[in-house]
Amino acid sequence: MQHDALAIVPELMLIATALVLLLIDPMLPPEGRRGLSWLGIFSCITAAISVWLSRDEQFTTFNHGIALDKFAVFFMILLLGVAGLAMLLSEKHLNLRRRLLGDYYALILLATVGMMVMASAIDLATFFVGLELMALSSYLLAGFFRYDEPSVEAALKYFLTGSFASAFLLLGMTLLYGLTGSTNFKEIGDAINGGGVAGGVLVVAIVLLIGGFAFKVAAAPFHSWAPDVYQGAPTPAAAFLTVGPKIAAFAAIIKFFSIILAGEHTTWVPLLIIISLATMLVGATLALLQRNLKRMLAYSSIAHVGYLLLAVIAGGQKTGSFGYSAILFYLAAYAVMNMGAFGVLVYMANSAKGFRDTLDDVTGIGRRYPWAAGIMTVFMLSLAGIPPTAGFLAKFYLFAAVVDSGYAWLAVIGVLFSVVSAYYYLRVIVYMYMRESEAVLEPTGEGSWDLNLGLGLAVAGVILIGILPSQILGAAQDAMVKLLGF
Amino acid sequence: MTPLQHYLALSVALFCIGAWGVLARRNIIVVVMCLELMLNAVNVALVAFSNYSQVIPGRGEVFVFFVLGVAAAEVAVGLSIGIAMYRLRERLKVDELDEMKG
Repeated sequence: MQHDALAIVPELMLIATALVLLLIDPMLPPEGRRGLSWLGIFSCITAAISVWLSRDEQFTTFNHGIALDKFAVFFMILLLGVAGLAMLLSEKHLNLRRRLLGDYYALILLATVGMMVMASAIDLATFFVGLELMALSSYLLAGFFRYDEPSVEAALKYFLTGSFASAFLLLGMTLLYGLTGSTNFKEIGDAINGGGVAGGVLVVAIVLLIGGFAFKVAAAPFHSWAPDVYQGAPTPAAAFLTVGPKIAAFAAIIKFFSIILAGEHTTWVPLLIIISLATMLVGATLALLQRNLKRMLAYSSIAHVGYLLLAVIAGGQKTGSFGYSAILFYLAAYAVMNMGAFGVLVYMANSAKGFRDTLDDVTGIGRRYPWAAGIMTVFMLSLAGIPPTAGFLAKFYLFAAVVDSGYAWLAVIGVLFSVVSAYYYLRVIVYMYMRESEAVLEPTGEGSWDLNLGLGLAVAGVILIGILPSQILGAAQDAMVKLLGF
Repeated sequence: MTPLQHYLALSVALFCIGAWGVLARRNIIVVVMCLELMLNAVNVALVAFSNYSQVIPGRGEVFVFFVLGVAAAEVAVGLSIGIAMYRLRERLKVDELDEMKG
């Protein structure tokens, strides 16, 4: 009992910082708001340190609503890193658009709290509150440029589809509660494995849950909101939205499928196979048609979700396989490379006048912006899965897990799709270095060292994970061992 | 005593009306109302399950309070985004959200 408040110290820190940000923002003159991002970043760092200090703890608290274990610690540190990186990327961009406000950082922090609760929840009610805290903050982040039509349109689309999906998830969770009489993940799992649960209703609940989660991670056929939202949202917010909510949603997917529904894998594995094939197909093919890089990256994130779903299948099919830990590793790699790619777009939008995120705008920037082009090349190679980057090892472990679970044909299809998707990543490099543009974008001369620091950290992350993966891989495996007990 | 199935039938009917409204109606305010209807339909089911549960009575009712709180926050966020949209376009129609395509 005395652990209750101690267990959520990191979350409380972030919430307190968010409230302070909202409180002091109106009192500051516009130029005084530049330091607000650092308040947010420091709160993320201190929260990450306090999570790290409790890494060897393993207990449940809040009436078995929250479990602090290695699994939660892994996700919390990853999510705090993502939030800190997002704030590093944002400051200059918001400043140039005259939308530098503390609300933005407060929303990122609150969304992060929601994600952390999702990663540590083991009760349906706790999980739902975390999910909605994340989702509602994300809708507002997408619409943060509220005088820009695309941004508001993105927010509205995100809100309508996201809330619709939440309602279906909630109905699915209600059915699980009705079937088993408990809201605790472990108790629900035991009741389902113990038998005596109405099979038909359980199938309906599983379908509703998969549908809701597919909406949340933008898996086909529920992906159509994603390109619009990521294109319309402010670029640094899009960097956060393509990564954070997906990480949290996959934490939840792992918990739902490995704790609650592990015994029912014959029902959900075929469904997930169809969804992941459709998702990879949509992600690989429709991205080829895009000239807008934010839209291209949105479809590429859909493709990555397809690969991640393959690993969920692997984890569910073969108990004790490394499918789930491959997801954890993949998410870490995906976080740095995807945020980095968006970060380069932020950099270009800050430093070139009239940059509109299209392929034409990056044509020939290899000569005029050698650093930005060089860094973008690293992220594109990593997203395509070319060694020695993080993306290569992440794909390697993931497909190895899929083969190991007995679905070699799925792994082959996944690799084929990732070869197709390499085309649109490499196309960006070709445009940057091998073509000359007639229209030269005028430089604005606006630099920002926090953005440069953020990009540097992302590059370092991509390369370090690619060369020295053993730490993170070990942490990922440890997390799954502690969660599932094998 | 009314059987559980009656409550569940009511809940599913309300949920379907809400889902139909979200998909078919064009005005954003009406769509937000339908989203609320979906969440409240789930609340009916939660209370009914809780009342008929033999395992731990009352869990579902606690869940309902969380859902109510979340639903209120959702309306606030939805309407504020709606207001931002109305200020830009002076219209609130879902099918006019077509600036981005492809």
